[in-house]
Amino acid sequence: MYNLTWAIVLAPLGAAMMAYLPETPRRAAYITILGTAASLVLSIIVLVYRLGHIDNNPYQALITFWTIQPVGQVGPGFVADFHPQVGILVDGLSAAIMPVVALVSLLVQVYSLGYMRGDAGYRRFFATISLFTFAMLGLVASPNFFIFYFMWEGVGVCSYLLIGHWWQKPEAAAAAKKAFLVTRIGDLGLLLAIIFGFSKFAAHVASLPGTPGQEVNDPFNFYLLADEWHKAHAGLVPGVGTRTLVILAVLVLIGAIGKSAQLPLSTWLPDAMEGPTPISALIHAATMVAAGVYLLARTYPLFLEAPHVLTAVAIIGAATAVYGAVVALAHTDIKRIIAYSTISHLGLMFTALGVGAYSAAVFHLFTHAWFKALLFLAAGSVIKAYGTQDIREMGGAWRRMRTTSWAMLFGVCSAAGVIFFAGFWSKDSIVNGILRNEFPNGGHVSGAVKGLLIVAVSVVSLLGAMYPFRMFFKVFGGEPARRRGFRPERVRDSGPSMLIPSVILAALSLIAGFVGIEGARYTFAKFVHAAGQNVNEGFAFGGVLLGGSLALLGVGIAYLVYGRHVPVLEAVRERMAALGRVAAEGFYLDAAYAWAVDRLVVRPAALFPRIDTEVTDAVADGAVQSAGAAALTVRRLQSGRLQLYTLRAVVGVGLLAVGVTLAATGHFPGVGGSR
Amino acid sequence: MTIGITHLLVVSAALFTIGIFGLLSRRNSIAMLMSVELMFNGVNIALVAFARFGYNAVHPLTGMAFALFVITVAAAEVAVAVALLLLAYRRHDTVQADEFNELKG
Repeated sequence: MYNLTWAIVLAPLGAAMMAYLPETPRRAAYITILGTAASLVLSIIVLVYRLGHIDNNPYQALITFWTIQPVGQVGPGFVADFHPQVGILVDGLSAAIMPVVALVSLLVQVYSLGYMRGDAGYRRFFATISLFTFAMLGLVASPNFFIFYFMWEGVGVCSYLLIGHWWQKPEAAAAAKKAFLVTRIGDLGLLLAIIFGFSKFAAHVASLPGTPGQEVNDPFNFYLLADEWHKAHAGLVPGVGTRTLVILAVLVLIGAIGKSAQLPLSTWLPDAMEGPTPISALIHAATMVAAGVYLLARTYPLFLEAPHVLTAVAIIGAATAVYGAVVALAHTDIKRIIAYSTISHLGLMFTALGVGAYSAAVFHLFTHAWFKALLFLAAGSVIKAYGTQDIREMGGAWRRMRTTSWAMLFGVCSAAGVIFFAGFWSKDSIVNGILRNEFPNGGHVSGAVKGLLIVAVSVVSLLGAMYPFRMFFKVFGGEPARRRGFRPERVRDSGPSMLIPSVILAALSLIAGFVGIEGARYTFAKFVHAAGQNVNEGFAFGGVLLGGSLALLGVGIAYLVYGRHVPVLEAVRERMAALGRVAAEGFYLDAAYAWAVDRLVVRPAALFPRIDTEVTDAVADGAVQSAGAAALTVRRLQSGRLQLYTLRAVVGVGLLAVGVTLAATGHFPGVGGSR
Repeated sequence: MTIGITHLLVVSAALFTIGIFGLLSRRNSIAMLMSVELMFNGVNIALVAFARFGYNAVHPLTGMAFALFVITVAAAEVAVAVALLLLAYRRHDTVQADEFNELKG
């Protein structure tokens, strides 16, 4: 049954390759949609099967297609241990995430049928989305760091291609480049982690008794390494101590921070809004940014052995969550509001992982996928109808775009954590996790940090309810601002290909949360947890009360300020305008980077051209000049006078004859004549 | 006085030297060509002389056949060289070798 996973991963790849075969771009889109739909159906089958065998042993299914062997005969040791396996891994985590990726990708593609109509790069767009889906599914199903890193980079490349889909626009090209380069910093961390981990653990993994059903012990395998990390912490792996584990965890964390746009590497995600809106939905909901959280979930056993790094994860996540929520509250670009909202929600997931609420983080990843995709798709419809992304220029969409409005309302309620919506359940299980503060292996973060995290998550719950509703009231309430060339009476709802995905996602934004109710919540936690981990997460009322009431309070404030324009609150808002301007610039994080890069990289780099001009060029010029001078001397030999040439030939032959004669008669020592 | 190899080689060397001298001193291409022919003949005499008096005197035909080949090749060479000179004359209106200096560096 788990062999189906091959088809899940490879169907979008095949579709991406075949997208260039049909004659019309429209049919290419149908092919990629078909490929992703096949992935979706199969991944649901695998998920259901997996759910039916939840207590099975072994917990995970590793299906190997090819074991890479080191080339040639090598002695025992470093290179001889290099045999990563190309294969797939099906366990609770991957089985739960694959349908999410496939479904979001499918809905985004259906939406793009309408949204991208008439685009010059229609075929390229769908082929790249399909490739993107393949990379993310492959990443989710990867059994080891080796395949994971390939897919990780594949996800990065595809997001580069899609953010820069309208490459003719300089902003889009710059945003794509920025996304790629900033995430590269994280990629470097992950790569170093893989290399360092291999150098430390490969020999010991090779010495273990063989894994049943496998040719070799794969030194990159997640499950083997999880055991190794655990043993290393107990001092059972020669040459590896806790310091190694901390370094490894920090390097992996850097990778996740870059990919999931956490502070301080968050700047690429808002700029990535230059891409087409469906791509934003895909990147933010199912692929790319989810990869960072998924990496942390995959390597969670490592972090459990390095609890201080886990505390750092929680603090970075909480700081990012607050940062994202504040900026989202101040921004006026609808897509960037949602982008900062993603940063904030990813921060929450990091926080949950940091306090040991592993399944809460995965749960929030799961629900966040639906409502974030929904927010972007609905926002895309609005942007297309209004021809602007500035929420100050929008308004009155409620009466003109009824279906989109309802869908957006569901997404906003879910994002805000309004009770009974998906975001409510998952956000509150994160709050519960912080209140419980217990790692699966029994550890916990310190009390001071816990207090800090409770404050942060309360702020995020409040602001996180305010900014979606601020956006909602600005866009859908009131009346549109007057602009040249804009006629409000022509605003109407999008076509069915754009509405149907929004409606499906709206339904999911409501019902997906019911995984979080008592009983189902425990099953979910048990399902996604790695084998042998202590499952202590269930439903609890503390978080529901704290998070849920703060969310409702935030919605109320947003209604009074942005919906009803209550004068007292308006005055407060006016007072805060200066702070708002600072926040809308992302607290000048971009400017700080620009300054730092200018001072630390660009200016020192400017010294190097001087080496080029003053040293390298001087050497080259000198060589050229001396060669020229020599040539001026030598050219006199080429007199053009035939007799002179002949004379030289004759003299040469004569000298040769004399020489040969002398040699033959023994006048040169050791040459000829001796016979 | 018996004519021996020495006499023949002296004649040969004299002819060859006259040829080289002519080749080096004359500017007229046709005269240079004639000088080359003199050098050929000097070599031919040497070949024939060695064939008659040299180590291989038992089978003199080898050297003589060689001389015949040289005469043949010289005839062919003259045909080519005169054709080239004709072309050069058409181009430069002269056969003076020092006027042909287009390759001068």
